This record gives sequence, C-alpha cells and structure tokens, in this order.
Amino acid sequence: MTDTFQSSQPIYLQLADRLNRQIVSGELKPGDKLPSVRETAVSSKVNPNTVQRTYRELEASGIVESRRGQGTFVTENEDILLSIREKLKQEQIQNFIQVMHDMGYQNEEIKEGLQTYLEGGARHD
Amino acid sequence: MIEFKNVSKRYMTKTALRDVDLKLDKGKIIGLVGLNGAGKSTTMKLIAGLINPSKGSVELDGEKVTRRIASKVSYLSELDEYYSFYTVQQTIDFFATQFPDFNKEKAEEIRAYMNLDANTKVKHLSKGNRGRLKIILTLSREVPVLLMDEPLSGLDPLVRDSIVKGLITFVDTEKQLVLLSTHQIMEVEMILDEVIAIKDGELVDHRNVEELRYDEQKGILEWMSSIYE
Amino acid sequence: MKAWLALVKKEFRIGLPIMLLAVVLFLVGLVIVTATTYKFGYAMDAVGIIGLAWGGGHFFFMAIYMLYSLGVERKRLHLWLHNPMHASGLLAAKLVTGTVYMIISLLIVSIAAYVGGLNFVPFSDGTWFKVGMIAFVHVVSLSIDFSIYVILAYIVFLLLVRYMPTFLSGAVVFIGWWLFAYLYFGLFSQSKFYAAITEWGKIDLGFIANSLQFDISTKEALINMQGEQLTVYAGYYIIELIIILIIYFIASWLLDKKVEV
Repeated sequence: MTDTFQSSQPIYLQLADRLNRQIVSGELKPGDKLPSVRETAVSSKVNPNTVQRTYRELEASGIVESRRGQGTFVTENEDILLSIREKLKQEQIQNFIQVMHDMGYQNEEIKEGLQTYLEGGARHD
Repeated sequence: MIEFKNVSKRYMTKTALRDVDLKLDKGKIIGLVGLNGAGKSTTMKLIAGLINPSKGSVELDGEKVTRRIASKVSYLSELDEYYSFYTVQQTIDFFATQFPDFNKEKAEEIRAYMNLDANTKVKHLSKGNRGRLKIILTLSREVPVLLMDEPLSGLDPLVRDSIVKGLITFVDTEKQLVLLSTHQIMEVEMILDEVIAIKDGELVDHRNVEELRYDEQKGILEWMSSIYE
Repeated sequence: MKAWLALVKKEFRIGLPIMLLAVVLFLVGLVIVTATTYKFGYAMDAVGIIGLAWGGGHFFFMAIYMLYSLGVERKRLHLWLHNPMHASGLLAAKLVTGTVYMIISLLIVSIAAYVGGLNFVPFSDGTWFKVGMIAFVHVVSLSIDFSIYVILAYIVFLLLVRYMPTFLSGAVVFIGWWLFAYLYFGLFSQSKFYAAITEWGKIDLGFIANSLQFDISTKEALINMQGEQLTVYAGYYIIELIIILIIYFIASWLLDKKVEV
C-alpha cells in the first residue's frame, strides 16, 4: 500500500478504490479487520482525516462495518460483496470500452480482440 | 479556533503582512505555502504571540494572543538553535519541565522512532538530527495548536520522509491543529487537509485540498503554479 | 515553581563561564601579584589590596553576568520567550543564579581581602570583620541594583534592534543610558525631594572611622559624615528598593508585551 496516489484526484476516493479492489480480489476476506485509521494513514502516508473519510464512505456503501470499540471489518454480507464485485467489473469494462471507442475501435473489433487475447493469454500464462 | 481579523504587520521598511483575514479550525493539518519573504514566518510568529500585529488582532479560542499563549501553542522555529551544552535527553527533559502538557513517554517514543541518540550533545548534532530533535520537542506537547515553520527545509529526503511519517503517527488529528509552512510540497501533499497561499504579504487563497482535487482535478502544485504565474 | 526551578538549573549552566572567569582571573592576578611582591616582603599587603580592588570590582559582576546571559538568549529568543512563564520569572531565574555565583566568587575574594587587610588596616580584628561584612552586603546589593538598570537597557536595545541597525540601536541605548544617569544621579538624587523621601531611619555606623569609606563610596552623597560618626539612612535603602522594583516591573512588562522574536 505504499505506492503513491495521484495528486490531482481526491485521495479518499483513490484509497476507497484501493480497498474495494483488495476486498474483491480476496486480499481482504469477509470478516477481516481493516487496519486502524492511524495504521492505514502511516502505511499509505496520507492524512488520518482522509483515511477516516474513506472508512466512512466504505461504511456507507455497506462493504465494511464498524463495530463499536473493535474497529472496522469487511462485511460478511454476500449480497453486498457480490454487488461490489459486479460494480467494479462494470467500471473497468466501461473505462476500457470508453478508451477503445475514443481511439475509434468498433464493438466487433473489441469483442474479437478480447476473445483472442483471453484464449491466447490463458495458454501462455 | 484561530482567527486573524484584518491583520497587518509592518516593519520599518517593509510590510510583512497586509490586511489578512483568516480562520483556522481544529483537527486539521494545514499547509502554508508561498515564496520566500511572502509572510509565512510572520504568520506563524503572530499565532505564537512572538510578534504583535501592527493592525488588527489575532485570537485563539476568542482570546487575544500574547507571548504566553505558549501554554496552548507548540511552536517550531525555522531556526534550530537550542542550548548547545545540553544533550538530546537533557533538552527533552528541560522542555518537559517548562511545559506541563509535555508527554515524556511520547517524546521517548518519537525519539526512538526517529532513531536519534539520546546522549549526543546538541552542538554535535548534524542538521538532519537537529531537525529530528525539533520534531520530537514540538510533537511531544499535547496542545491544541502545533506550529511548524519549515520543518523539512534543508533536510535530506530520508529525514524528510521520517518527519512526515512522524507527523502522521504522532499528531492527534482529532484534537490538534497543525499549521506547517514548507517549500517541499511533494512531501506533504498527501497529508494536508487545507492549504493557504500567501503572496507578498497577502492571503491569496485558502482551500480544502480534497475539494480542490474533486472540483478542479488539481493537485496543490498545479494550483500553486496557477496562483504564482 | 517546578518549571521555574528547572529554569534556574538551566541558568546555572548558562552563566557558569562568567563565575569561572571571575574566579580564575582573580587567582591568576593573585599569583602574579604575590610572586612579584614576595621578595620585597609585601606579599600579604598586596594580597589584601588586590582582594579589595577585585571585591569592589564585583559591583559590575551582575551587569556583566546579565549581559552575557541575555546575549546567549538573544540568539535563541524564539526558544527563551516561547514559554508560558511570566517574563519576571524568566528574568528572576537569571538574577538568582547570578547572585549565587557572585556570592561564591566574592567569598573567595573576601578571604584574601580580609586576611591581607589585617596587615594594614588600623582596626581590631572584630571591627575589620564587621566592616568587611557591611562592604560585602553593599557590593552584592549594589551589583544587583545596577544590573537591573542594565536589564532594562538591554531590553530596550532588543526593542530597537527590530527597527534599526544593531549599531544604531546600541548607540541610542548608550546615549539614553547616560542621559538617564545624568537625570537620575545628577539631578534627581541631588534634589531636596529625594533627600526628603530618603533621609529617615538613621543608622549609626560610628564604629567605623571615616577613613574606611572606600567600599561604600559609590553612594557617598548619601552617607552623612559628622566628625567621627558615620550614618546611613534606612529610608535610602527602602526608596532604592522601590525604584528598582519599578524598573524591574517595566523591564518584565516590555519583555512580555513588546519584545519581538
């Protein structure tokens, strides 16, 4: 978590994004305790107030829960985890497609390219 | 918490600060940026009560600031003159006697964290280590206001990094207000809640950093270059 | 109180060089004088004279001590003044340590002065000891008294130096100093008014012959000599004490409210 943030985007959003990914990838498992605000602040070298805000946002989205006096935990609610998983996927695809469209690729070309890449990539990895 | 009401500070030949209105809230880490001679140190010293405004007033919690505001304010000067005959430990012990809010355990913790030898005489400390000592002395006080004038200036990147980490680790962001002036924007960019730009003694802008990023997709550096060009 | 005592400890450390210097200079002087006069058989007289001279010189001890100590702080005013303590407390810590150092140094000198003086003073041992005690107390209190004026002058210097070059500030303070000295010692303390408020509470020092006024001669105008009688006024001491307290208050106030870092 020491890699840097983009200075021109809100840090609390970048940090939320990062934590969401860790949860979706399974790096943080359902029921896992998140590091304390201070620990996260130190390890990612950002203001504790910013981390506080990130945790608040994540809590509002339901992906984490704060338990009084114990800390913040990744939710064990399957529905929420699935919906976040779906949401991140949609976001990534949307970005990708946007970039491809901007460069002038057609949907057919993109689909074909993806298919070839995924099939070929699976064999080479 | 801190309020400048139409503050000017004049010296014989120059005006260091002109008609500044400023409000600073607690629980924030605030950066004060500007070119050399813009009035950063003057602003800090006014809050510390070490200089008096020529016009207007500076208040802390509604109380007019005087030199004895030192009971509520921990001030780190840009100079690093301490009593040269003391060792690091003796300097810490002396500070602990002068300020009832000085937390000696915290000082020891920060000293260990900063990796500063307790028994070295202050006069034998390198510039980097004097910078570390200043941080220990300033952050060990449990006061509402921490003022740090150029805490990173003239230090090498490793020391700057440990100081920034020290700030994140040891400042109580819920209770304490930190105002720090610096040239090293890159180092502190991620830890600032707010940023204040002054230019030629005048307050140019005062922004919430995350809002600045959100509203204008600008980092502090880009924002600064738009101000100073 | 705990904070102040810790400050006193720091002041002892800052001021130590001045005390050491005073003692070392005296001992060196003593050795030189003794060595050069020994073959003429006047060594003890010489020891007495140098003791008396150096003892009288202690009038300046506190002023030099304060200038040195304040000079040390001037380089780190942001450190010295960034303290919730009242300025009078900051200054008092310096005065107290200086006084202790002066007494230590003066005791060493006094032994030489007393022993050496036995060779030439026309008094019995008991009288000489009493005279010595009176002189001792006067040197100590006059030295403190004088140093408080010096503190005020130094603080005025610190005020001026924010607004004008160092040399000019020094010059202004120097001229102001002599102007003040003239007004105070030349006019005020010679006035009928001053006499009226100070000349009460006569204390008879008749056991001292008038030939021995040297060590209190700095205020000779106030020592009324009537034939073999030597008297001083309690009123003089009280008034001087009040004046010096006022000066001290002004100096502290300026340091608290006006001196800038």
